[in-house]
Amino acid sequence: MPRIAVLGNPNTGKTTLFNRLCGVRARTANFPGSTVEGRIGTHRSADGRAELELVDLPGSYSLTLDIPEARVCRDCLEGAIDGVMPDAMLVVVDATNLRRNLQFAAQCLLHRLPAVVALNMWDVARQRSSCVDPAELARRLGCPVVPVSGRTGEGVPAVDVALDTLSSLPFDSDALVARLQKLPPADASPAALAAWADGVVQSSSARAPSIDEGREAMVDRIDEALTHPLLGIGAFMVIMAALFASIFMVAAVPMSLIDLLFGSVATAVRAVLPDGILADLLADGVLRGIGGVLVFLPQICLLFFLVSLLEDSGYLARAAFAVDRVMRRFGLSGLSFVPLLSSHACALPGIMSTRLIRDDRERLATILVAPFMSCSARLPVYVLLIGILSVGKPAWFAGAAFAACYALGAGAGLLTALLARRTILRGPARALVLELPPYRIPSLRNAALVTWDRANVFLRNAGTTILAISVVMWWLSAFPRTGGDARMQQAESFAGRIGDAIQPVFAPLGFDSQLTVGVMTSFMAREVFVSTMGVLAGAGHDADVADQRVLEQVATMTRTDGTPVFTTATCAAALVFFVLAMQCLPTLAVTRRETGSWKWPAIQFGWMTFVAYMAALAVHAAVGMAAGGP
Amino acid sequence: MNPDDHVCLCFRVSQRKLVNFMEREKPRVASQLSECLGAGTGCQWCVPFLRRLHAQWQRGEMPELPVAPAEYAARRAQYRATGTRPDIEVETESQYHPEEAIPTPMPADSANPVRIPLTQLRRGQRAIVDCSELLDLPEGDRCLLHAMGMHHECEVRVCRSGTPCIVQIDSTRLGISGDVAKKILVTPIDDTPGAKA
Repeated sequence: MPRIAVLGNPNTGKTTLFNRLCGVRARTANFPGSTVEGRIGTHRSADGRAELELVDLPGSYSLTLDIPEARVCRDCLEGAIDGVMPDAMLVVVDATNLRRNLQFAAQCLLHRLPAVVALNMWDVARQRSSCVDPAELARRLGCPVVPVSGRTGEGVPAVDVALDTLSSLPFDSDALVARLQKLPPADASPAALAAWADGVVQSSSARAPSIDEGREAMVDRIDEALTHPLLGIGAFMVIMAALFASIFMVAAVPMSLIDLLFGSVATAVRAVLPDGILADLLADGVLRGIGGVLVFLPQICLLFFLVSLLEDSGYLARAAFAVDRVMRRFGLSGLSFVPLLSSHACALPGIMSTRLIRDDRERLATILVAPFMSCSARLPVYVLLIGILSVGKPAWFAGAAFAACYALGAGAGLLTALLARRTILRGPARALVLELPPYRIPSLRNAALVTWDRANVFLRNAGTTILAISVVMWWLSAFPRTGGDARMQQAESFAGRIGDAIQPVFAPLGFDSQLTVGVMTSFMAREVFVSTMGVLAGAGHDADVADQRVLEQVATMTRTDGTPVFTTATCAAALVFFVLAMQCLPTLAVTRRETGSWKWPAIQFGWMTFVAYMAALAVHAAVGMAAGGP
Repeated sequence: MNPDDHVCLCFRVSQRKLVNFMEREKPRVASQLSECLGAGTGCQWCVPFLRRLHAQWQRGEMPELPVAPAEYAARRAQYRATGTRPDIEVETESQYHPEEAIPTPMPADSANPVRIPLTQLRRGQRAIVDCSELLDLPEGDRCLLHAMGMHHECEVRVCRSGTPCIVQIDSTRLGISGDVAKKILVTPIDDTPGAKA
């Protein structure tokens, strides 16, 4: 399958066009040796004859900069990604901002590959009555130029045809040489490159795009407000609160549906299969374990969907500036904001994206605190524990508790950063320079595709790691067979014995042996806590309640002495523990890789566990006292 | 001036380096000397002197500048402070092509010799960026600004003044934190709406 590299400046609508061309037939790709993500998709030409592999490279301002995005683009064009040289390139330029985009296009076109230039945002350019002549532009660039709009889909078939032609024609070195002669030399200075682009713009467009003064003035005012020291932060908090509140509320319905589905499938399995190990394995191990994690799929999808909408709307770049002022106090900058925000999805991409931070010490501090941010793997645990805590409380309680968890994680992270920047990582915070993309109505289609991608990753994970751990947990709690009732089985099983052995460590936090087992297993991945608790709860209950929903079962789990596992104090302590504790093997591995030494993961693990334990201890004591007893 | 004295003080390019560069690269026009370690692309004080060196070399003479390094530096300081070039006799040669030359700063009597930090502009005001003054910034920041479209002599419109500073170049908006913005010097364009003297 011919491979086509898709290149362009950031905010040129490159990804939207890519989505138009590939749709759901794309997946997120991590480029080897690099930290930035791209996507690889397959595109079938309109007549269904040819298939092309499109590589959506990260947007970059220049090919020569020493930043990860530029490096990935260079590597790809030089055939260093998967050792495959792309067969052609699709250079996406923003028709409304030709001057800057052409400079990047020129750098790309200097590579000896057949190319098509997509003149994107053609619809907007036309509205602004800029008369760019694609034919003249094609003459000046020495390659086909196709006006297109990724947003409306206009012109996409033409891109299709151009790509198809390109990949089917033999390599034409004469045309290539002719193209190279039209371009500025590879070692042109920035000023020379700019002058060349100016010349091309002047010769290919009749007049400069008109700028709507009224609209610009309005955008000025919005920008002013959103980056204002008080208003900006206020807006940021309101938007984040609304985001999390809607995740919690909207996801409730599909969550209980999934929960119900797995519950009834488990009952059905028990009804069909004869009693025995197989039925137990399927119903208690596999279905309960996976069901317990899949329940959180709606929330994770919603989170990614909404963050993608926010990003697309142009708000996030403004938020970075609003937050910059605050971050500065903690020795970080708005540049750390993006890694820390993505750490709310998962600390792994968050830590990897810290390579964008140009100051080494600031970068280390950001890596150190990234796992404090409440990642989506904590989400299931939060939902479970907050669900238990908020029984009998008013409706707003759950939302507030949810927000408090995120705030606690972020706060602990920022204070840790401050501490680190005052002690082991002294130094000033660096300045922030970011493009502020135009405000747009976000594309639902793009957001849906991002969500689809993330959900796939999550499901794959649920189908492998979590399934394996669930089965192991089931085995540990079901063997050795005691023949006694469920409670006795649980106490005598391997899981019960392991829990008993370690439980004294967690006793001050009010954790019993089952909860201890849950905490221990969740070190592999936090969401495993929920499936572990689900499996343990199933084992601990008598058969007549087996059709109960998983979450309810966990909530009503009892200790070996019959008292509930989750008292208010224990539940709050466990919640705080999960907010703060470092329980993620992959994160430690990535920290090791990114920092190049075991020192930083060791500090990270030691510090976070210490903070989590102490905070949980304090919360357990405080809530216990407030409730008038343990 | 001795061969080891710096002609371009911004980038510390010595006369010897410039002469060696000319012997090796045979620059056709004086502006190509900017490719020798960026000579002349900083404050641009040395541009007339670079032209002179180039002219001498083209005539086959041994290039030299008849000025004491201390005085040279002092005049440059004065030029940088005031934007005015002290009266020095400068040779201009027929080989010099003005359209290809490095842009020189506006003459002393021009309407807008004053360059002020970007942060001091008001909202809506337009200005011309002087990238030669970006030298205080770290290399990475400077290259990024260039790649994002902030070139020497490009026109910007201020969308938000202060910290962060938001400017518009063509249709792109750039947010620049105050620390960087105050190091970018610009020449305001007076007759823009919103700019009241």
